[in-house]
Amino acid sequence: MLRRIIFVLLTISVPQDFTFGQNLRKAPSLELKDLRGRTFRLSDYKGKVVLLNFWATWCPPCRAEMPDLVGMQRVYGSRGLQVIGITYPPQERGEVRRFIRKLKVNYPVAFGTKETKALFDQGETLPLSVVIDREGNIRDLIEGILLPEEFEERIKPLL
Amino acid sequence: MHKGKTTALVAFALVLAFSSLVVSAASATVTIRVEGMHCGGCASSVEKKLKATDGVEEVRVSFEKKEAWIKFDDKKTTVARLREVINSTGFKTVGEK
Repeated sequence: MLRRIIFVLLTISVPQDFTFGQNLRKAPSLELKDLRGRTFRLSDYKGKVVLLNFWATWCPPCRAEMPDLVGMQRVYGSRGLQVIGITYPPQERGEVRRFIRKLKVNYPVAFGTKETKALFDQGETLPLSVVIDREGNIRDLIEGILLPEEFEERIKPLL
Repeated sequence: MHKGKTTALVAFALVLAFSSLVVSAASATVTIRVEGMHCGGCASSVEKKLKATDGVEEVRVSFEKKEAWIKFDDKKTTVARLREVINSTGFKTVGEK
């Protein structure tokens, strides 16, 4: 009897993305302008795991982590990862374009405002990475430089 | 029997004393001056990266004082390595205090 109970307990399957007691919040809809002045909509990326990265050219840790973000997009883009950069003011558009070109950034970048970031987080910490799952739910907020181990533990399982 | 117990106790005490000596001998602290931190957010990135570094035991980073205080295991890491880690966050280390 005991064996049967243990067997039943072991075979109860819990979906991989199930998190106990976690209230998921839908990501707000964003409509911004990209580097070329075209309309950028966050909703266009539904179905992908989005890593929304708030950054600024004047923020040293933001600049420092960007090559890693470029690498993540290159390696995991085919598995459904979409990195998106959103600038934080004060920000001169020409400087952003020059910086993006210099770093060969391989993901979309849009111009944001303080209000854009406040939709996700009230703090002023930069960089801030928002993890959004394929269903459009906010799964995580990662403050400061995104560490490789954070990517492994908090983003990769969603891919 | 009594003598055996005493010997065991002495041996145990020696092992404890020796191990605590080793732990204290391996721990070191350093205060590194850091240029370019403007806000608490900057300090938290430096702190986060240092805490993730092998051998680092405790970290306090202050953007007001423009410095990082680090307690570390000097058998596992070095001040030069800690400076490298800080520099990799986009800030610049300018010496130790």
